[in-house]
Amino acid sequence: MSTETDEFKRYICKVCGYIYDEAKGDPDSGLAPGTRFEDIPDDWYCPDCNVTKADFTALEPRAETADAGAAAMAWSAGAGAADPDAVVIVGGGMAGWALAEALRERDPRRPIRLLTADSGDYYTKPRISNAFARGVAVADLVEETGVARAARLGIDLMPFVRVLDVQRAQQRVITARGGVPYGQLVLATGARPRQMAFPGGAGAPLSVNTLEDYRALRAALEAREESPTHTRVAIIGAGLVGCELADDLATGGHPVALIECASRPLPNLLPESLSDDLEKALADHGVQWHTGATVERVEPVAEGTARVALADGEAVEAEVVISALGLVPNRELAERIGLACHQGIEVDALLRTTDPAIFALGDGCEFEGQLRPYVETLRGQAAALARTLAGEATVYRPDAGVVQVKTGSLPLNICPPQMGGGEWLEIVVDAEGRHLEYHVNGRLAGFALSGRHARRARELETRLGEPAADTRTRLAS
Amino acid sequence: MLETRTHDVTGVSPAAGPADADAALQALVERDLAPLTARIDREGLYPEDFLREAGRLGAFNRHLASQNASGTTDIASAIRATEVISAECMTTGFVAWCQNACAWYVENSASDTLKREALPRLANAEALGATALSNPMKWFANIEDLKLSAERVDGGYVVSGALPWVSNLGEDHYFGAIFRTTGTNPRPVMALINCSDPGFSLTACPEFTALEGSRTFGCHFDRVFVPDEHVLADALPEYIRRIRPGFVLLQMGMGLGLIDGCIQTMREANETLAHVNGYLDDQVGELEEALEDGRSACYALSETPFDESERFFADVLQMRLTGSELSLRASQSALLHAGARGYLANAAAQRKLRESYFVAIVTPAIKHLRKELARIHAH
Repeated sequence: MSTETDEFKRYICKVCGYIYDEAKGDPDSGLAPGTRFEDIPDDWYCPDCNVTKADFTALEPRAETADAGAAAMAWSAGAGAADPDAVVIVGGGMAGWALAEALRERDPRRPIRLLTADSGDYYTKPRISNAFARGVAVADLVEETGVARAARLGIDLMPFVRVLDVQRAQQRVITARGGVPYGQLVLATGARPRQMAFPGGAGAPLSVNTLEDYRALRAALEAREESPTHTRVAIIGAGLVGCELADDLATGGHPVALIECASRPLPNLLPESLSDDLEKALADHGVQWHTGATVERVEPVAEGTARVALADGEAVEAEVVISALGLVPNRELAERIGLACHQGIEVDALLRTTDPAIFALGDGCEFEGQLRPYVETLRGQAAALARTLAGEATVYRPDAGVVQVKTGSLPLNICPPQMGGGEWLEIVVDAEGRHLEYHVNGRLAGFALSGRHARRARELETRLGEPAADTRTRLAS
Repeated sequence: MLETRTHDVTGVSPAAGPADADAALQALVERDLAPLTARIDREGLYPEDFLREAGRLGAFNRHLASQNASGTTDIASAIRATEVISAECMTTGFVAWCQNACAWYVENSASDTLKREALPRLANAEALGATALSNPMKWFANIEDLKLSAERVDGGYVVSGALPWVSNLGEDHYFGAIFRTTGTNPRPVMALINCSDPGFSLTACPEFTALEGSRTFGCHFDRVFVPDEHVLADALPEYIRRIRPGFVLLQMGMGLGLIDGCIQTMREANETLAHVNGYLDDQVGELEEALEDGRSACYALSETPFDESERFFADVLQMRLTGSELSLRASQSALLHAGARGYLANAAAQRKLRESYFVAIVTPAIKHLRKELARIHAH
């Protein structure tokens, strides 16, 4: 190329993108090759869209290219060649992944496909409750990316996809990325926080159920550059999540107010003495309690600050308001496709729904009339269901249902009695906590442990149903 | 997998085949449109009489709760009408979508004047309308700049600039346009323009490789006055959030219809060539299954057209992407099934191949969709 041609410039039509190249000219319109842009007459028109020279600009090629790696192409991964015998799992939370892992262990070859609305990145949800005080960054809660976990287990992951419908007769899951055939379908759709709309105009409180939610909470907590003491937190609901978060955030330095409509925390789970201990332990860490209190309004009072007005006339001001009012099973999909649902998706002893090709496990399912939104439960269900799906029909036997309350200030392990007619006995009470047992007809039917005694849960669990010495102090229940 | 799937599905939303629900429209397509399809494609014939007649049959009011007998926003039914048309001729299916989109803008606007004067006529195709939102949609996605600007004057705006290639235009056709206001408080505003407005002119485009009968023109605004009563939306972000799922979902009629038409072409080819076509990658049964999946997903999404969440819109964009990808697969297979006869200049197979690329290119194009999905799903 001569130096002369190197000097030719190019101009682009801002309207349609036609490029005028001085070297080539526009012979069809009478511009010979080599015609300079400034020499083009004013009555010349863009050959593609008829605008004039005035709508052209010097061409500066865009240097940047899109960084579209393999993960960014996830939404074009075809569902076409899918195996009609596959086990398709809907939901990439702990239950969905636990099942995928357990099933892969039992059956190295069965095609497994996991559909999830998010990235499928794996995290242990209970760790969210105490990550703040321990200084764990949100990104570090991810134990393994969805892509890596799928590759390790040899399963197909379809991330960022929601199930829109299920054609039960054809055994196909309908998504916006196409249909996915299944041999057996498992709903691991989980549960979501119960939302209440409070009047007052302050916007919806945060709720914390997913890693995404938690990311938003951490961003809100860290929005102010000052020390945590300047970001006050109000938590509505002193259930498991409310108590755990209150303890974690208070330990992390935030002023925390905990609002509960019952007269004490976790009234349905804890014997009264343990409720009292928990209340005191959290108060010692700076949690300001409002029990027997109902929220009437949440209103903005200043930039970034809300006022939570209580029915008794008191009010709590906070920069971050969290709602922790329990969980609601995600049963909309199951209801849409005609599966029996009550509180959750109803399942039988084999964790089958009312469609024998569709199963459910985890927080979204209801077994023997009960919701069991606990990690222990989903692990047990995943183990049993993996056997069933691998061809060895296995009845799910619920564990004792020990509930861990991960409040660092006072750890608790509770095994709520499954039957009434007994009484709570105080076995040990000392400076390090309490050991309570529930006896029915002289047999151990439940227990409640706190502080150092909480460690005895495993041992007591093995003794459930066995005769227990009835020589201890009786408590009023 | 080669069996045609049946519709006797239990416990799912009703998704009657388009042919069942649209017998009258189907008959009109066969009688009035089919004989013109090749001329529309090759000679640029504009199917105006068909559009007017289809409008009288109610093909373009189904998504307009204020204009149809059921009083509902039935996006699924509007998609099905466009499917029926597109299966025969996608140029006509495309202008049908333009018509639907234009009326959709007015239906969801705050302009009582336009709802009174323009909407009923757009709904029955007495007036014809277009959508000029390709440029603004790319602007929203940071792909290009807004091409129209406007000065505020007493009682309205004066708009200048040019848009390349807007379809379904004609002497007194309407279309929706977004311009950026200058001066204090610069912001995008959307208004309904009429091609007969003073200062507005159309210029012919170079010849396209398909969709020639779609009356596509360059639009030139030389100080066009737009009265305030013709403003569709001033608070534009809220308005766009409301109309965008319907806008994109309505496009699905083009892709689904095209795929349906490709399958029909494959069936016809198989009458004489089944013994060799069996060696091809995408068979009738597989594509039919994928088409039914696509319809089910589309109709399910159509149940909540006013869900303004990003999460829902991501599903809509994903659906549109899946539709484009499947259109390309289906048209390629149709041509391969038809063989050399499909390569004749008047053959449906090669026309459908060109039409399918339009599905994949028209805004939002495949690359645009992937860019948006990457943004939405990024942390």
